[in-house]
Amino acid sequence: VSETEFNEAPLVDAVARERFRTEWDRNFAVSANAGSGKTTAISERLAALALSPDAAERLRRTAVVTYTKKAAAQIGLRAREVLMRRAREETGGGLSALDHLDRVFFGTIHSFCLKLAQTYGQTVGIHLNPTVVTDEGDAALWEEFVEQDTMDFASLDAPEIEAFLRHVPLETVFDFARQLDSATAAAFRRPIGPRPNPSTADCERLLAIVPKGSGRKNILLSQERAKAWNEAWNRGAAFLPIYEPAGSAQAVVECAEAWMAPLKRWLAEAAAVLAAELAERYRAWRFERGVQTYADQIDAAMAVLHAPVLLDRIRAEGWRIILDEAQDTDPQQFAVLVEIARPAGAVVGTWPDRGGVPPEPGHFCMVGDGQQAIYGSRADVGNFSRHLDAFRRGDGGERLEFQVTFRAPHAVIELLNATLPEAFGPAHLRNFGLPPTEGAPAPFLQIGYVPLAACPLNSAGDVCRLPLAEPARESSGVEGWLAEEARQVGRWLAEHGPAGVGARRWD
Amino acid sequence: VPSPRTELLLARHADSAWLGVVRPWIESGRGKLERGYIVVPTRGQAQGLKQRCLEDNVAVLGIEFLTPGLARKKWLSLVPTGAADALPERSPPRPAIGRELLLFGLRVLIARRLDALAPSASEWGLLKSLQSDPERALDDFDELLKNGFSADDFSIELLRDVFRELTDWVEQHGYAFAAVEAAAAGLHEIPEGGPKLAGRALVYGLGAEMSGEFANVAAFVRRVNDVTVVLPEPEFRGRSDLDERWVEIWTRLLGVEPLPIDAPEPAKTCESVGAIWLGEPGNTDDVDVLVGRSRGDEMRWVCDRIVSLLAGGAENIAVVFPRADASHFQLARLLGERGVPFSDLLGTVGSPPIDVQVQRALLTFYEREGRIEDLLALWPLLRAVGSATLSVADARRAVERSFDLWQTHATVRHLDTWKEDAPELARVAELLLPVWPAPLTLADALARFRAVCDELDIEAPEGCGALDAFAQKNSDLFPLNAVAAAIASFLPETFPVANAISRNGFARVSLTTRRRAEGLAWSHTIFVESNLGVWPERRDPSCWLTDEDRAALNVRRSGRSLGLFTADDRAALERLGFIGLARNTRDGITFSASLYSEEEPEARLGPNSWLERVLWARQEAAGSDEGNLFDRSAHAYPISDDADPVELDRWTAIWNGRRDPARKFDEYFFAGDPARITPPKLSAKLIERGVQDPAELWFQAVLGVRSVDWEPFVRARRKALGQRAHELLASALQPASGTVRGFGEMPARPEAEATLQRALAELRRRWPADRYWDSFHAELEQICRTLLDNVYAIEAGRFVATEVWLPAGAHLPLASRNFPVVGRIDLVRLDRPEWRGAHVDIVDFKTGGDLELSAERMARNASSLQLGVYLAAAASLGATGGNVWMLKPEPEGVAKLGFEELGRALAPLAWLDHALTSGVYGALTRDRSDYAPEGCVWPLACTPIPAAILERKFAATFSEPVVGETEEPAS
Repeated sequence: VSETEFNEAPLVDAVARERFRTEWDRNFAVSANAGSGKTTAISERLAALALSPDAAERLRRTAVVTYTKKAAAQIGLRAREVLMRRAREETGGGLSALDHLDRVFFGTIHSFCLKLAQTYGQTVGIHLNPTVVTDEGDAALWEEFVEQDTMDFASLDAPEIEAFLRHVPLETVFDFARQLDSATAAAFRRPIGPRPNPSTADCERLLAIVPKGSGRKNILLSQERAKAWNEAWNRGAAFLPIYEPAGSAQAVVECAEAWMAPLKRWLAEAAAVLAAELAERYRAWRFERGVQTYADQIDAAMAVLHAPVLLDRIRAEGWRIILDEAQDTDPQQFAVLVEIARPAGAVVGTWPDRGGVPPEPGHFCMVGDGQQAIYGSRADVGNFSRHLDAFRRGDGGERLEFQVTFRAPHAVIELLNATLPEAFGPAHLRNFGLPPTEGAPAPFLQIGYVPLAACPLNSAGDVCRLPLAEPARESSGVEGWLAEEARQVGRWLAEHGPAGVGARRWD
Repeated sequence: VPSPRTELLLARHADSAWLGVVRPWIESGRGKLERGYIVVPTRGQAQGLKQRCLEDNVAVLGIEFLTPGLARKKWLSLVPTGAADALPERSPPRPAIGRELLLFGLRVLIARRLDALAPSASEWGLLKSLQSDPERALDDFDELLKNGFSADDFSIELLRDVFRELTDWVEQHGYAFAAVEAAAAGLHEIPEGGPKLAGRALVYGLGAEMSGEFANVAAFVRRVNDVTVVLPEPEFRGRSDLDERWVEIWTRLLGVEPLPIDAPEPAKTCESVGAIWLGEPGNTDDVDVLVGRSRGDEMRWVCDRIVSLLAGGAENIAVVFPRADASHFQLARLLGERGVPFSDLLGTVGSPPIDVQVQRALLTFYEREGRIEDLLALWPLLRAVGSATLSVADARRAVERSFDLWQTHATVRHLDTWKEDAPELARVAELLLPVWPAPLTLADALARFRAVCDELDIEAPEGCGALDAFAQKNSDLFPLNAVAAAIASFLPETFPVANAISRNGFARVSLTTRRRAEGLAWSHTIFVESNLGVWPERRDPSCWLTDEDRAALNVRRSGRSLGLFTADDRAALERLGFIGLARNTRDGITFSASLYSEEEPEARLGPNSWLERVLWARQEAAGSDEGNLFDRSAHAYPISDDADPVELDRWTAIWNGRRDPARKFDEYFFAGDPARITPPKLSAKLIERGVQDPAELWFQAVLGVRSVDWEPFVRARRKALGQRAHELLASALQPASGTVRGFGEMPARPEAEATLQRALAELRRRWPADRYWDSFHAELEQICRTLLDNVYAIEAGRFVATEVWLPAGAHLPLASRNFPVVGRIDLVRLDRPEWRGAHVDIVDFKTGGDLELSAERMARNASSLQLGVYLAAAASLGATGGNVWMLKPEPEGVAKLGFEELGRALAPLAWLDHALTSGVYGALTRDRSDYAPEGCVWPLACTPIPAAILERKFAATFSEPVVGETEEPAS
């Protein structure tokens, strides 16, 4: 099927697509599922903007940001191709609009933050010529930092530090400290109070367990260790690692966890405080060395935005942001992009949650799909949802849905629509979404499922369903269930061979 | 410029300029003993004009080609120091300060200001930013000076202050700014009777982009009596005002009206190709487009195109690169391989001479206060100059060992250890040390630097005269990094490759850049790398002198300056420059581009804006509407297949055989003649690792190759704890009194505890008093005490030896032979002071990992096989019974394996016997993964074969279950 045929196919979401393409003075949050043509949609909007009468002014300060350099470059290229096609179709020639596209920033969010910091940040002391190190590549840098650091800490009292170091090597906070961004580190620096004692009752429960069965030897050993640990605790001073039971007898493990829980919680809090202090020192040292991590780039942009004069200067320049892969954008990154699109004088951090003024019309669009979030460790789907909700209620813009997918056959789409809503629904027994607030019980937060629609030109396709058996033993967490699923699918594939899925051979 | 002859001419085409002005000008000097100067923008134009002279048989005797920089030297030569009338505004003239010293001065001034400020001060932030980017600020300052502005014209107050201070600093040290001097010499009339250069001058091809050099050229022109200036004719389109103002400035300088040259326009030109870029109607008949799948492909197509053009009689071909890069290097190589003569105006640069590389590495060593990794970076260079002979691998291993011991990167802390362990490393380190103090004077730094160069027997740094002169004038103390950067700035980073192909020769093909090709007539021009984002390149201004600042300053520019270029100005001038090249091309233009990025093969590239429009115009002309012409133009370069098919088949069979799971390991895969490759002995540890992955044995024992990790030196707490615990326990458990063959009475427990306590205290003093080492030491103490408890919990003989090497004669009783084995045991306890007839207890301290000790595990996956080997070796020495113990630093962390279990535990050694006998080892190397945090595993097979295939090959070779294949049952 040719591109032209696809372009001319009647789509159920054609109105949404056309609105996104042509309504440049409105903000949109586009929910675009896999294969729905996000890149094309953004490119179409840019091309239409470039062909508009005031394109030079609008595109002079337009930034299209996404997660990889490659994706950003592809959007840029695609926009040019679309523009040339449009130019031929609608204007009958003339390519001066291409010059306007030359002015658009296409890049990653990190490179955009770097640009912001380097362009505007000199008065707040931004490093203008940094060497960027990857998370993996800073081992030598960290080592250099650690060696020259005083390794003295002011954020905890001396007895607290000694109490911490009695149970945990200081080095255990290092990995954490290396990765902390500025805002998180600041949030961690708070008083933690004195170290609690382990729960005596839980220890006694552990010692009272009657050893029996195949685990008898380990239970006895665990109890001996518990006594030794208690004695060492009471003696004080010497290094004393957290108690670990021998074996995996459930009763012993539960008692041990309960026994150590108060101490572990305190140690975790103390580790966070120490890591935060170290992270701050590491950040300052990096600055002196002219080295930036990706997180530093975001921090640098945030530092600029927290200078009201600079922020208003940036806002006055009228930046227009199109954010792709919004679901993988972490809260700090979101904040940078949102804040520069808001009107001068808007108080930082007051939109979308605190009733503040939203971004200027036409200055902030985001395209994403929560169901495709892949950066679980750093992105915050909750944050993405908050922005989506704001647009849904008309605060700052509108929400559009691209339901049509060009990627999957009709039969697959029908199956997905029939099965996924239930699988991701709050009523599902194993909903591995995020707690709506920290520590909240199920039902967990999941991005609402947006039913897919097939492009009429998609192939018919075929599906078969492989029911998975409930494992004898409950799996643990997403990885555990995934491994179980992989085992069962692998077994089935091994049994049925390529013919089982209609293929001739595997390679 | 009052002179006997002054002309200002405007040329639209290079060919017309050549015929109408340049050639007649050169020829008019024929037969006269008269000096003539031709001032051109770059050496590219000089080369081009010389070649044209050669082609047209025009003699250039007495003609000297000058770039603006060389013209500056000419007029400066007329200004002897102290000559009151040399420069209208300054007397006597001062030496112009170079950029290197200026940058040093700026860095020092910023550092001084920061020293006096707290981070909370309002100026601190801006100064920190300025400190991070002084180069661009200095570029902006230079641009201000060249356009008649000064430090007072920066829009940021603090910047004004800093650069005023810099101006004063320059004055105080007796220097002048080159731009200011040039302005004084060029923009003001010289006094009556002032010195002049003999001869005549032709200024050719200087466009508005060269306005920064205007003052220098004007100063030269003022000192010549016979001047002809040929400027590009204004375009009257795009940002034409710059072209027009450029002509006005010259008109004002020369005092004559510009005249169009009197020469016919060329009959044929590719001007219309340039017009397409400006959105004007154009013609693409003379355009070829070459799109490679990759940049490499593109260059191969370009090379073919050049060969074909030359075969068709092309007279002179310009191959225009955006910069000297890998593609340029590749094309130069391809042309060389095809025997195509070419002139390379980009030049091939390489590393500087080895002595300079050593000098730069030395500076890094001192700037970073003498770190071991910088010493190791220096090491191969020192070997190259003959100042060191120890192999890099041995040096690295020695440093690794001492790093494990000292846990610091400061070279000085390792010195004593190296004196014992690696004397050559110590010798060189002693030559390099002490590290430079901070702060220090420049003179001190230069003296130290020269002294160490002398000690290492390398050349002293050359070309530092200006720095030496400055150092004599100034005895201030400067920050170490500023001093090191200043010295480094006088050392070349790159060096022209002496034997590069076809540099500066005359040829029909010129590899050049747009700036170097402008103003010359070409029969064909090839614009390579015509991809979006490669060229044209938009350069944003720095934050120190923004476009807004520039526009505001330009309002009050003098009539002798074009003003400060904004990013738009630069982009427009660059575009006009390219279009000018098209205009000066007669027969055809070729654009070449790549469809995919070489660095990121999945990233598709697009055409640049000119090629994009050319393709569009071509489609319009053809009435075609078929998708993306750029993509459709892309072709992979066919790979020539001139390999010997028989040889190719042979190697293909070998290649396939290595990957065939059913095929046994053979001589092409970790196997050889056992008579020649069998190692004389093996260590117990290597036997364990070799059974788990025979490739380990192959590399280490058969080939004698050891891996040298080149990872950063980072503290590994667990490893350091283990090493220190082993040392401390060995010290605490040493025999109490005299020994027989290394064995003596086991010390009583209180005695061992006291020894341990003393050793721990001694060790703590070795490291800094901080929380990190407090924490480390507390854990170490706990490990040592627990292990000591466990040692004394064992019922064993009263004779002990620590860190015992297996004596000669220890062997493994394999089915086919007794095979010598070596190894060092943490602790051995005997019931009599000799092995023969003794009950032996071998103790191994395990401070890392969660290994268990059992005959089953040993037999199944060679887990802790090393310990079983020790016990078997003890038996071979005559021990009559005993155990091997694994002690862990946890209460009751004791496990043992007895003599009676050895037969079962050592089952994997059957494979070893097979391998030693047959010479076939094979491999069971784990799969590599791009995502593995530790990167590639050692040993690497020379081709990566999946572990699953290796396992099947292994089974096919040895016809028995594969070690490690069986999953561990859940405990």
